Amino acid sequence: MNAPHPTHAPHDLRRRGFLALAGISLAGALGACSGAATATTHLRLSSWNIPTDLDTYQQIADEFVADHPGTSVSVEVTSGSFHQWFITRLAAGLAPDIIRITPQQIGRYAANGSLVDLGGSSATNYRDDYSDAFWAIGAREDGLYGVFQHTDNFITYYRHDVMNEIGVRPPTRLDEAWTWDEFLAISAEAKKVTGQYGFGYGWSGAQTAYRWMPLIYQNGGSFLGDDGETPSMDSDAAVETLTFGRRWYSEGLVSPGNMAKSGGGDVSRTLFLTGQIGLMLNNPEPIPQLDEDLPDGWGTAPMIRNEHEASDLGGNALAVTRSSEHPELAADLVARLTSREKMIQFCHEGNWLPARSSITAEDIDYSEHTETMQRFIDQGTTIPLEMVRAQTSRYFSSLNTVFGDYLDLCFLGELSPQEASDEMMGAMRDVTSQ
Amino acid sequence: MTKRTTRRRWWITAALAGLAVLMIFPLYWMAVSAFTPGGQAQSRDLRLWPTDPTMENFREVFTSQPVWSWLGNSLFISTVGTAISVMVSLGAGYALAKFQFRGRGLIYAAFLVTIMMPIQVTLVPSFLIVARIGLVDTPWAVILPTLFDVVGIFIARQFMLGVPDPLLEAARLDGASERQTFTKVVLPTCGPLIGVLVILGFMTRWNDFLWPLVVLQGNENLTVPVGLSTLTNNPAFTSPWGAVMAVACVAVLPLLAVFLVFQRQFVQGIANTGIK
Amino acid sequence: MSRPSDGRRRAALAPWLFVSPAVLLFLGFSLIPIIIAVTLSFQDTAAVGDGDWVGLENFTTMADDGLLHTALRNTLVFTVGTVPTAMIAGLGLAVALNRPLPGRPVLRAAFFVPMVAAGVVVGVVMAWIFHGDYGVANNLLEALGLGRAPWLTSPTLSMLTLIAVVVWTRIGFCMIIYLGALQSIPQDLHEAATVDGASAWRRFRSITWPLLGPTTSILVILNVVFSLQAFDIIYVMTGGGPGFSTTVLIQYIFRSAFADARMGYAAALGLLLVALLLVFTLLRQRASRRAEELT
Repeated sequence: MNAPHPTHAPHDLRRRGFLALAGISLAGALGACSGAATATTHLRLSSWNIPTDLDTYQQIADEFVADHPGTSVSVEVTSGSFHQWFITRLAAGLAPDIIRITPQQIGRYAANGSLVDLGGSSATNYRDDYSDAFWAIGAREDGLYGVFQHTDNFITYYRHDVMNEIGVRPPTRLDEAWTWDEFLAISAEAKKVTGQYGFGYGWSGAQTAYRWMPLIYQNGGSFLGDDGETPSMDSDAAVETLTFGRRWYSEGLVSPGNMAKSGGGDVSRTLFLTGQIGLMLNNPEPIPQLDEDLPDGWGTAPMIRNEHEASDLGGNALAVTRSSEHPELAADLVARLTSREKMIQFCHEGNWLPARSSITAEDIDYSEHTETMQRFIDQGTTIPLEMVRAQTSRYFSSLNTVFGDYLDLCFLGELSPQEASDEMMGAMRDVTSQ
Repeated sequence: MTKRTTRRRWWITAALAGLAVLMIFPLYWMAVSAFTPGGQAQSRDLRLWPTDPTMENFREVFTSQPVWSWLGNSLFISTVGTAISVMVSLGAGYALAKFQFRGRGLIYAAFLVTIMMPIQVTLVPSFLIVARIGLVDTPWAVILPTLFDVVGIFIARQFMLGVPDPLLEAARLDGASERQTFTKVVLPTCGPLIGVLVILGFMTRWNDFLWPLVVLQGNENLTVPVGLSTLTNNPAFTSPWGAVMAVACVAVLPLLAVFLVFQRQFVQGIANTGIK
Repeated sequence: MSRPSDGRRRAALAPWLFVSPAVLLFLGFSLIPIIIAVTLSFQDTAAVGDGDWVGLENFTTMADDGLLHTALRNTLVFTVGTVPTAMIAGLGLAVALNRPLPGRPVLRAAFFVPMVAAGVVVGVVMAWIFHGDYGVANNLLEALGLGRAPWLTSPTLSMLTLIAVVVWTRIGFCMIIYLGALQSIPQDLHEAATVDGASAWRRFRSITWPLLGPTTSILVILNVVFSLQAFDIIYVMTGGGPGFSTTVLIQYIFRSAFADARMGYAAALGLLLVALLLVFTLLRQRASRRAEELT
């Protein structure tokens, strides 16, 4: 149990409460005053609560501290109510120095001055080892607001028993990937085998609606135009994609309990493990559980494709917030964490995919599934730059909500694909014209 | 006659027992999931108890997460917060019920309006004030702003309305100071009221989520519900379901125990507080 | 004995001493944030301190905001669905458990139990139970030969499921408050009526129910406040979906404030919520006053 702060007797607090009242009118300009003077320079890094990652961050940070006498680093955790926590903390200048943030969350904060430009740090030298798409996550015209640390994306998982019964050999190379039509045909067969559904899609809650966006790009469409701002869900390619998605549900290939906004975590994973689907499109997260509950009963193939290839933009960037009192030191730590050597260490420990182009599965020396991990790494090259631009744009957080809403309505059959496209466009324009 | 009544009594009991099973089932199911390997070895088949009960989920979550710290923080915040808050509510309830003074109606009305304002809107302004006082990341940041508890003040006032005025007059005529009147005459009659305020206050604080989420930081410093939320519903990863269910159990069980032990006093207390 | 004027002064000061801690906490941690929120509602802003003044624009926008209208309609359905149901069920249980029954303490405890679970926990567990494909609710229905229900995947049923879940969390609270009120009703009133040959229903109608009036008033208002501010459970279970079928006002406020970073608009919506509650409270008060005049 934490000891109460000895200096804060209730009596004392009441007196300080009065002082606070005196400062009402200043409430807006509160940011400046935090930071008690301490002997050491302290940095705080906040990450999602994944125990292995917290350990690895702390380990790398400790080495960093050893090289920088007089500093200290603490690793803290971020919760699922990310925007509530982050906006509130930023308003008071109390956000952590370094934040682990998804590409889909970073846009607003990079655009509105909440993050610090890392242009002056050594991280800029990393540009050559990044693909255009991955570098664009942090880089904007006016500066570098984050460095992509690790990634993931979607590939196809299949159950051996179902594939054997259908008698198909899933593709192994990217250029052999199943097209939409091939995939739906196989899913229809899989549905006959499972007696329930054909496949599942790896959403995990309303905020992950964007995971369906690659399909639009596979069909040659786009979510936002080239300027990264103009809604473009009214193209024929986009409407066709929605029609494709509607078929998943109208033909009973995907469970209606497996949609972007459904609660209960990763639904497709459970359906897959219990044999209610034969295939799923998902990221690397299910692997440990598949190993435990379905050892040797599953395999992987490349992500499906249509006219083009595309896959989901998963992973996290590291960014320095404007709350930091030591932004240069924080930027150095970000550079350290994203250095080639440390990225290999981080991905090895946490079973993540590297953001840098030059790192292979062999370099990382994954403890298991080297082949599947290399498949994910290769698939990562198909993430389209235009989609990265769209998802890291300033309004994406709102646009993602809109996207999820209308996907739901279209998939359920409440709106036809054309109507869904029209209404989505309207709602998107409301957001971007704010 | 008595035979018929007895039979009817048993029918009612049976019907209520059926309903009671329905009421308890979700929490039972939470426990089953926490004791099932992986937490989600579920399929379309009906299974009502864990086939392979295991402590694995608990063991794992207790070794990988600072669950004991979360429990300790929740306990400290709930206990201290409730204790101080009950005193504040008793004083306010007494003043609002037993004194005529200018502004009384205004104060009471203003208090009541505050429970209508959704926290989503006042979150940022409240945080700025707490930041200004320099309390952020200490347990006091959670405790202090929640000391003002409108429901508590409301219940206290209702109860105090029932304290007979002659009792107070007699004490004052005997030369007791206002403070003595309160502590020696009024408070001793407040046993059941205090019981109700303590239980309700403790429960609210134990389950509070959004406010502790923004004012606390550092995995070691979180409360249980906030700790749980760092495991669920994240855009960046999906936690093992068994771990989530195990923490959910940990969040509910202590409160359940307290509640079951004190339920009789609680009902008695409500009966005597005059929320009627 | 002190002089009268002394006593009067002392009496004038005393209530302020007792109420001052509450008033100070109220000013510092409730009133000031609310005042700031009110000023925000006249600004176009993502946070405090960096907004442009836009006058009443946030309020006029509401008129054309289709999603807001959907959310208001859903809020009405949700509130009307949860409040009376929870109260009637709570009252029924309180009446049933107010008499000696075998196993009464256990039964009472069983109905209280859901009260103690935090919203986040309830949401997670219920999403799990009501999942269409592997949730235990459907597995049970199927084992009974009743087929599977789209608990959370049908736009109409999902609202009912959420209402049921919220009622589940609320029954215990209503019951406990009613139980307390019932126990404070003098036993001899009932006994006299029984001797007069009044049926159980008549006794309830003419003695119990009127005496429970004030309790009912308080419960209605508290329940309406709870329902209008019910956020966690809906957020975790349906995310406001499928489609917009379970998007309620508080959900929309959250979305405006944090997902869309339109704090000004969210503050205006918050004031709308308060206004709705105030109107409701006043209407209730007038209705109960009229009822008193009639009787």
